Amino acid sequence: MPRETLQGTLDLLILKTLARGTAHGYGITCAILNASQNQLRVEEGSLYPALRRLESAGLIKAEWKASESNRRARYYELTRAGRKQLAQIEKEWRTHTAVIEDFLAFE
Amino acid sequence: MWRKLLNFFRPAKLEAEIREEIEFHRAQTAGFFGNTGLIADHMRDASTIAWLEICAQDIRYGFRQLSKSPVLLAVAVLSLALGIGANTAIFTLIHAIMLQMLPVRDPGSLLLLYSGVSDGVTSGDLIGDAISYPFYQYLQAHNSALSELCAFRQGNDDVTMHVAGESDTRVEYASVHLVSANYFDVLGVGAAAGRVLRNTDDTRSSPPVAVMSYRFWDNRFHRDPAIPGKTIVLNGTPFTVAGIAAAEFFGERIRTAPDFWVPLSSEPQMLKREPLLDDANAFWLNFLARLKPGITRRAAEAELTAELHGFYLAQAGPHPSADAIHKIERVQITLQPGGGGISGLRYLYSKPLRVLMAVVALVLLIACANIATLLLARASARRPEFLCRLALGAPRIRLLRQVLTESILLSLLGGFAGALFAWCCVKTLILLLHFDPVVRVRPDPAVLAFTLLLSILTGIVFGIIPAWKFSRLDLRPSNVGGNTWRRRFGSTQMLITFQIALSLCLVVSAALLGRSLLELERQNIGFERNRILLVRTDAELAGYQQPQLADLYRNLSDRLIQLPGVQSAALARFSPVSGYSSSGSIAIEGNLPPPGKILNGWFLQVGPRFFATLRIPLLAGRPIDARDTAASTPVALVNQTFVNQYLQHLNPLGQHIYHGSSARGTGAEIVGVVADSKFYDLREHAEPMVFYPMSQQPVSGFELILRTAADPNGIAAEVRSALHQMNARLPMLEQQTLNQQLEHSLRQDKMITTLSSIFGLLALLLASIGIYGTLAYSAAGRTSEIGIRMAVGAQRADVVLLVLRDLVLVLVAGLTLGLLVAAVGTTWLRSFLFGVKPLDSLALAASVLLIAAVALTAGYLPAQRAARIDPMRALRHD
Repeated sequence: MPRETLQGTLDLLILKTLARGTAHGYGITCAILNASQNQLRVEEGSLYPALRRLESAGLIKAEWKASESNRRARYYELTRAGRKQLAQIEKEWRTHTAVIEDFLAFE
Repeated sequence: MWRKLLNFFRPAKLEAEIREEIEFHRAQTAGFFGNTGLIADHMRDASTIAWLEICAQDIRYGFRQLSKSPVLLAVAVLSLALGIGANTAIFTLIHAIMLQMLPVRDPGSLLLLYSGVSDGVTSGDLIGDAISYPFYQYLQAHNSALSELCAFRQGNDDVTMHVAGESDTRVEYASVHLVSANYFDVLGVGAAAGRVLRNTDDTRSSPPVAVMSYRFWDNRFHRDPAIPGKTIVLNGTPFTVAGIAAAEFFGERIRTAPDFWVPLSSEPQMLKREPLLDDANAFWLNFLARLKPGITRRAAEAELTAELHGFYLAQAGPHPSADAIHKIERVQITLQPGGGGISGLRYLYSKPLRVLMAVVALVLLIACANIATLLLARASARRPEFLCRLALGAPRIRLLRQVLTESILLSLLGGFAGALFAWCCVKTLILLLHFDPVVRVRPDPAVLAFTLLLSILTGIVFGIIPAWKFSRLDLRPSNVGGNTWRRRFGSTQMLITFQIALSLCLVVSAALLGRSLLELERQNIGFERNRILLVRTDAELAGYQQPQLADLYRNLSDRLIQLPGVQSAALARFSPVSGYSSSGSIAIEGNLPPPGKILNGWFLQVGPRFFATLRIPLLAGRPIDARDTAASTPVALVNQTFVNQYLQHLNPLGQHIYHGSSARGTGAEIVGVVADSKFYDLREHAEPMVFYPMSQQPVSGFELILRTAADPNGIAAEVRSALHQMNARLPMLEQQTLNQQLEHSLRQDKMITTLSSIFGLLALLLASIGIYGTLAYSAAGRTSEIGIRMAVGAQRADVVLLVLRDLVLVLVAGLTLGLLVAAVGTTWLRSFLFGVKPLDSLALAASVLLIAAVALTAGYLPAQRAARIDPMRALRHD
C-alpha cells in the first residue's frame, strides 16, 4: 500500500491495535505488520510522534512496565475517550470506503 | 493539555523517557531505527506546547545573551531602575496627595457644596465659600436634589480640655471640629468604641456629647476602654464622650485631624462668642452632600442656587433694594467632587508635584533613550550573528521575537529594580517634604501596576526599533559587517542629541531654581534673624477678658526682659514670616483716595521694643513704647513703602490713619517711620505696613519675641516657667527660633530645588552612561578600521579625535536643541523663580559647560581605550 494513504490512517491503525490489548511501540509495529500480512509497515519516525500526539490528546495513556525481555518498556493503552474516537474513525472509514467503492463500481 | 504543560516544566524527564523508549525499540530490532535525533525532536514537539517551548528558549537564550554583556545589562537595568523608580515615587506621592479618597463610604459620590459669585471671585460682603446655619436647616427641609447633606465648620478650634473630676491646674488643649449630627451618618463612618453622633445630639436641649478621634484616644488615653461614657470638660463645658471614631478616619480635611467632633449646637460654648447659629448672614459652614439618584450635578446646582436666592430674598425683607437683589442673585452654588476631602496640602503641593512629574517624565525619556541607543548599538554588534541565523533559514519573525523578548526581559528587570528603588525614593521624598504622618504613603497596587506597565511598554517600544532594523537586513555581501556609526546622523545619533537636549533642560531648570533659592536666602529681609526665640500663646484660652489684656502685656513684657540670657523681648500679634497677616483698606486724612480707588494696608499689632528686638531700623519719629496705653492718643508707625506709596509729598509724622475707606472715627497718629522688612513670607515685595500698639488694639493670641545672648532654644524652659508664674493656664502653643520659621517658609522652594537638582544630575548621569555605552560599542565595532589606521601611521591622539569627532557633532546639535527648548520651557518656571530671570545667562552658560564637560568625559574614556588597541591584534579581529 502506498505511504500517502497510510499517513491518514495511522491513528486508526494504532487505536485499533491498542483496542485488542496494551502494547509497547515495537509491539504495535509488529502487530500492524502481522495483521496486514506484512502489507503495512509503520515507520518509527511516524509511529512514535503519533503515539505522543495521541497521548497528549488523551486518547491513549502510557505506563512503564517490564516487557517480555524483562526490560522496561512504555506500554500504551486505550482510554475511554480513545475508544469513543476509534468507533468514530472506524465508522467514518467504512462510510468513506463504501462511498469510494460505489463510485468505482459505477460505470 | 495538562500533560503538555507538565512536560514543559520537566524537560529533562521528558528527554529521558523519549531516549529510553527509542533505546528499547532499537534493542528489539538489533539497532535498526530511523533518524533518532529527528524522531526524538518530533516526539518532543508532540508532547509539549510548541510556542511556549520556543518562548522559553528565547528567554533562556536572552538571559545567556544578556549575561554575556554585563555592561549593557548593568547600564540598561540601572537606567530603567532610576527612570522608573523616580517616576513611581512621584506617582505614589501624587496618588497619596491628589487622588487618594477619604476613608468613608462611597467617597466618589460625595460632593462639596460651595457658594460663590458667578465670576469666580467671592463677593466679600455677602457670601463667601461658606454657608450659614439657617440656610443649612432650610436646605435640609426643602431641597429635592440631594439625598444626603451634612454641615461642618470651616477648620478646627482650639479649646481647653480636662477630664472631669481630675484637677484642672495643668490645662491641656485640644482641637474640636463642629459638625452636624448626621456628619458620621452621611460619611458612613462608624465608631471604634461607643457610638458616633446621632441626630438627637444636635438640639440645643440635648446633653452635650463629643466623639473622640482614635489618634487622640491612643496618644492621650492609651486606648483606655473606659473613656467612652466619661465626661470631658471642653472650654469649661462638660461633654460626655459618646465614642471613638473609626481608627482610619481623620475628618474631611486632609492633614488637620481634630481631637474631638462635637455637634454644631455646642458652637456657643466652643467659640466663646455671640452664637452664629441663628445668624443667616454668618457664613461659617461647609457642606458635603450626595445627589439623589438620577439627578445631574448641573441640575442640582441650578436647584440649590434657586433655593439660595429664594431664601435670602425672603430674609431681605418685603421690599429689598435693587442693589441687595443684585448682590443676592450674583451668588451661585457649585458642587465639586468631595471624596478626596479638603486638602491644603493638595493646594500647596499640586503645582510643585506637577512640575516634578514633568521632570521625572523627562528623566524616564532619557532612560528609555539610553536603552534604545544601547539596543541599537548592540544590534549592529550582533549583526553577523543574525545574518548567520537568517542565512541558515531562521524565519524573520523568530528573530524579531528574539529581540523583543530580550528587551522585554531587560525592562522587566529594570522595572523590578525600579520598584525597589521607588520605595527608598518615596521615603526620602517624604522626609524632604516634611509630610505629616496623616498622609499615609504605602505600597499601592495601582502604583505597582503603573510601574510594570511602564517598564513593559518601554521594552516593547524600544525592542521594536532594533527589531525593525533587523527585519530589513539584507543578505547581500555589501551589507555584511557594518557598524552603527557609519551613517553620519542615524537614529542612534538622534537619540543622543535628544538626550543631551533633555538633560540640558533639566540642568538649566535646576540651576535656575538653585540661583533663585540663593537669592531668597541672600536677600535683605529687613531684620536680624539670628538668636531669636518665638513663643506663641493665647490669653483667651487662659480665660482673659479684653480689658485685662493690656496689663498682661505689660507684666509679661517686663518679666521676659528680666530673664537671664535675654537681651531684648517684645510682643507682637504675628512674628515675621509666620505666614499670618492681616490687611484691609485704610484712609489717610488729607490724602483721600480718588473715588473708586482703595488704599490697602497691612496691619500688625506690636508691643514696646518690637523694632529694637528685631533690629528693624527706625527712620523717623519714635517707636511704640510704654507711653502708648489704652488711655493715651491712638498712634501708629508706618514703613518706608507706606510713605512712598501714600504720603509722597507729605511729612508722614502727625498724619492720621483710619480703618475703612473714609476718614471717620478716631484715627491713629503716625509717630514714626521704620525701614521695610519681610512680614508675610520671603517672596513678598514690600507692602505698605501699619504698626499699632497692642495696648491700644488688644489681641488675645500673640507671640513673644526674645533676642537671646546665646542659643535661643536654651531659654525655652525659663520662658515656660515665666509664663506659668504669670498664669498657670497660659499655654505655650508653639515654640521655635526665627531661623527655623524662615527655613520653614522656604521648605517648598528647598524641596523643589533639591529634587530638581537630583533629577538634573540623574539625567546627566543617564545621558553620560548612554554616551559611554554607545561610543564603547561603536569603537569596538570599528576595531579593524582603527587597526588599519594605526598600522598606516595614525597616532593615538588621531584615534581619540576620530572617535570623539562624531560625538562633538551630536553634542553641538543637542546643546542647540536643548537651548531652544529651555528658552521656551523655563518660562513655565517663572512663578517658582525669585530674583532670577528665566533666561539667566549665568545659569545657561554654566549648564552648557557642565553638560559639554560631562559628555566629553563620557566619550573620552572609550575613545582612549580604542586608541590603546594593538594594531596587529586589531587587524586580526573579525
